[in-house]
Amino acid sequence: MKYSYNWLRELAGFKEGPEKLAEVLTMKSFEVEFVEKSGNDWKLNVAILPNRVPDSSGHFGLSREISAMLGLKFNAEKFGAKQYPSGGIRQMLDVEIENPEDSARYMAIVLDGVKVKDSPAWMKERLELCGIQSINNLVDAANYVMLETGQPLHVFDWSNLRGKKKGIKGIRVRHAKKGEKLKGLDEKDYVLSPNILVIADGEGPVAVAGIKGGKGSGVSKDTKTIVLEAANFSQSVVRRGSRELNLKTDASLRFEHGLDPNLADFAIRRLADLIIKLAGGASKGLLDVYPKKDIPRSILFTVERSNAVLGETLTAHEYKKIFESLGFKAEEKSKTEFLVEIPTIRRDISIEEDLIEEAGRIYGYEKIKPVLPSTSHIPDAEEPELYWEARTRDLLKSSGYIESFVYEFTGSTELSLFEESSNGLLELENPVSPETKYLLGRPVLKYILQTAENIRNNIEIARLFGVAKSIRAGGKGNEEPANERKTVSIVLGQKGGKNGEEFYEVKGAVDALLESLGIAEHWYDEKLDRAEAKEAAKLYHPYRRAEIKIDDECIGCIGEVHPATRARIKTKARIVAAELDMKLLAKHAESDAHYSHISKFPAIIRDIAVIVPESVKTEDVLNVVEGSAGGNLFDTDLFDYFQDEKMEEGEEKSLAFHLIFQSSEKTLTDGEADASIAKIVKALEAKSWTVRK
Amino acid sequence: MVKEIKKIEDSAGSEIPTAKNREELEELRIKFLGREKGALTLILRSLKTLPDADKKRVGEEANKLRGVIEGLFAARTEELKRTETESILKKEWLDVTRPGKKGPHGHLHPVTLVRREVEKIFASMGFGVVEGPEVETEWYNFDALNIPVDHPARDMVDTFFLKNPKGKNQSPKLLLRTHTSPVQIRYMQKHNSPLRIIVPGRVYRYEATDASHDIQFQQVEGLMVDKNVSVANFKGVVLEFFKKLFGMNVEIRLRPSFFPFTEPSFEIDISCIACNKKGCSICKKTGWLEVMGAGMVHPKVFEAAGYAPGNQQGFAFGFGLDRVTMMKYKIPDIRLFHSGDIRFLKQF
Repeated sequence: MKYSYNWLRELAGFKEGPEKLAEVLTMKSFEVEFVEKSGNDWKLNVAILPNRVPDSSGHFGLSREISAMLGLKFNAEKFGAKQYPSGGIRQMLDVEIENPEDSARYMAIVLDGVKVKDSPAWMKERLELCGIQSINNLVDAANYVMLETGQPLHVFDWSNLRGKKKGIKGIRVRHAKKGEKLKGLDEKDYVLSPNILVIADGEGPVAVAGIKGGKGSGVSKDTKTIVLEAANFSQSVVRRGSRELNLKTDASLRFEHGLDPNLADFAIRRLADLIIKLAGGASKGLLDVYPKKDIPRSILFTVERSNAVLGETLTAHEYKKIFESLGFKAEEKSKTEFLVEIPTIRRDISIEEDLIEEAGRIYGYEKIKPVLPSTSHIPDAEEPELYWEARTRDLLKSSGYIESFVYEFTGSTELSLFEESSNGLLELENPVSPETKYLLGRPVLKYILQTAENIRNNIEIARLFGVAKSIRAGGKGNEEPANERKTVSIVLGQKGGKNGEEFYEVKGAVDALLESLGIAEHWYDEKLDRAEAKEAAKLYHPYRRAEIKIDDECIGCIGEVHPATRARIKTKARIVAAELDMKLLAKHAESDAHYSHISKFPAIIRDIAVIVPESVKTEDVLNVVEGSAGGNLFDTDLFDYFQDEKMEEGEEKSLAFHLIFQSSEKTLTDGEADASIAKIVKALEAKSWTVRK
Repeated sequence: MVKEIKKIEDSAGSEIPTAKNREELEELRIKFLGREKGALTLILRSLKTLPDADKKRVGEEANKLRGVIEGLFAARTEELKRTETESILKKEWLDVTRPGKKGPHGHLHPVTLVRREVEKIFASMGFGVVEGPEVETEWYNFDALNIPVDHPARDMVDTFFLKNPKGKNQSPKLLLRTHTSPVQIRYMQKHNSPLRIIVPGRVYRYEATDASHDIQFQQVEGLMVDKNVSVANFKGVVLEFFKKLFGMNVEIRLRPSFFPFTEPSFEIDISCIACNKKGCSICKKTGWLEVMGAGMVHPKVFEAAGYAPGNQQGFAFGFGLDRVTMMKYKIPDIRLFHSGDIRFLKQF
């Protein structure tokens, strides 16, 4: 909100310059966003805190605050206003509030014989500094007093109000009827709904309550008799109306924060004074509909409690001084207790903590000395899933993968690139764009797109990973509003690789990850026996993908991105991706490593190569080797996978293994190793495979 | 004969030490010591033709010479061996200025790196790490935090709301959490005072994106509750935190603020880490950077979490992890964090 430095100084009588004032305000009340020279004045842009709008949106309120901060005496009486008797207003105007919940108070003064003209230069300047355009002396006076007091005000042309009885104009504060319309002072036509509170005359709406005046009832150059309005409207009603009409005004902004109904009285008298001064005319009387008067509340304040919260020892006297500087009455109940009476203008203060805040900020937070907690605290054991997640990140990093973040939003275009369905995805009510209208159900898709983009940026081999959430419908009530699961995505892309080397590299990363999490017994399953497995597998090349399982539980999948998908996402790179469920990884992870005995007897290493049909799996060959070798075979290692042209024609391949023989009890002889090899060869040949010795 | 011997000695003394390589040396060995026609062999063989008196003398001379020649050979052999090894090593010279070979090198995201640092610092002060759901109910995100419907504070955060999943008559309205504060409630519902936690996690805001705003970012919430936790304790803990994160010279200041879930509430500024309060473009000439919102937990929040009134007090704070990461690594644009661009990510 914008404030005039000269105006504030006039009211509070401080000596500080604009920059110094801004600094004090920032540290004790509200942040001053900038100070700007404007003619002979300075404009202060002050971020009034939302709960302080009711008391500080006017220059009066802010100067009251400044006086408290600087220890000056604020003399509200000095800025008085005349009293206006009710006079004969009842013969000219009748006011009715349909529901006091919507409008706590409605005040009106009728002035007769006013002359509409231009406003004086000093007023125009102040209005302009505060961002309000000058219209004429009547409208400007209403705006000026709003800037002064914080109370929105309105001026009707009495003769343009339509009456219900002859000679008496009727004003009714009510909800709009369905289909009612109003042309605003801004010349726009507003269609009103029953949610919207209006000021209606005998025939229909003449203003949207607390938001905008109507064109028809507004003042014009011929206006002679006017009705001044100072009302109090409910914050929620104004807020709803402002939202529905998509219309924010200086008035609605103030009402939305909940104003003090007692403010209206001072403001309307101030306005009447100002108009009579600027435009002449005389009062026909004042009318005040105020069914339930708002009275000041008192709060019990305890010195010890406040000192305990602040962590600083202030005396009862210091507290009393602070409260009085703010215009609160502090009545001593005992040496350490006060009953503090809060003026109704301070809508933000309702509990003792609010008073502690006032004391803290006026005393100065900078004076409170930092104190580390004197007691120690042992936190609960870390969530296992968080522990394993950190381990996962470290391991994938050490495997050469780069951690990346993705947005948790997706849209129809992106989903169609992957032929993914939006079933089960949560949809936003108010997306920023159609491409962010769903929450992300499958994070790996984003990582695949990022990988493709990196290849386009001439990264030779892109290795990315990340732990992102899959968010889907199907939560469990309040405990888990949606089905959120952390998913580890591991993606590698490169141009021109051969023999599925990308697949084996990602598989290697998965194996290394699981091994480091203490998961040894996972396996790769090509079969798709569940419907959701079939659905998920559509992303992948049908002959280059598998589910990753532990026993029969699927913990994730791996695959090369389908060539058709690659074409749709326009990448020349071959991309292989793996998806793992973090919760399941954590469930199977095993933190305790166990020592296993290292044999002191030397190992014998023999190599064996076997030519098998192309369709035979490595695992099948190993099963034969391990099944026939006997107890001395300690380990096997596939060290070469080979296919020459001749083999390719014959649809065969060669697999070469290191076979490591070792005993924990004795040194093996060559003869023993040879005997094992003979058994293995015999078993392999029994399968009609050729062993190359 | 003696003359012969002297001649052999002279030529061996000049030829052997200058043999160019092992082949030449071998030739010389044959020339002087060869069993068939070696010069010395010939001398020894001819001894028997000498008179007995000379035989002994010449024999002694010849044997002495053999010793000398063998010594020369051994020395030269040794020398040649050394230079040969040297020349082999020389051939194996490597260009040390050629770039070293790197294996694939992974990286953690800069926000992860800072998050770990934050967690470590708070862990040293007894704070545990807790997470919570990102899809929240209105109650947890707003009402429980003393932000009732129509409260102006609901305007301060622009929220992504979710449609009700099809065919489901869902009572609580769902949204993407706008802050990590709902986890305060969730945690206190299950744990009693005293407690100290931090809650890192993703939050979402409906707003226009630019270099410093994104619709998705990470926040860290902090909560400490005990019998007598004070503003002074809050200052102690966060000052310690910022010193450990940004260096011992960092100062903090508290400015009054408003959050419905804390009372009193404050905004925390740290002295600008780029200019150390001198005023620069980063701190917009103010010397201070706004980094954190905080305050003393509002009694309504304790009430919503089911705590008995008056039995405890505590502080809570929240700050943007992305923003702190940007400060720490001097990253100019928040949107880089979700770009997936390896050229960016590999810098950390």
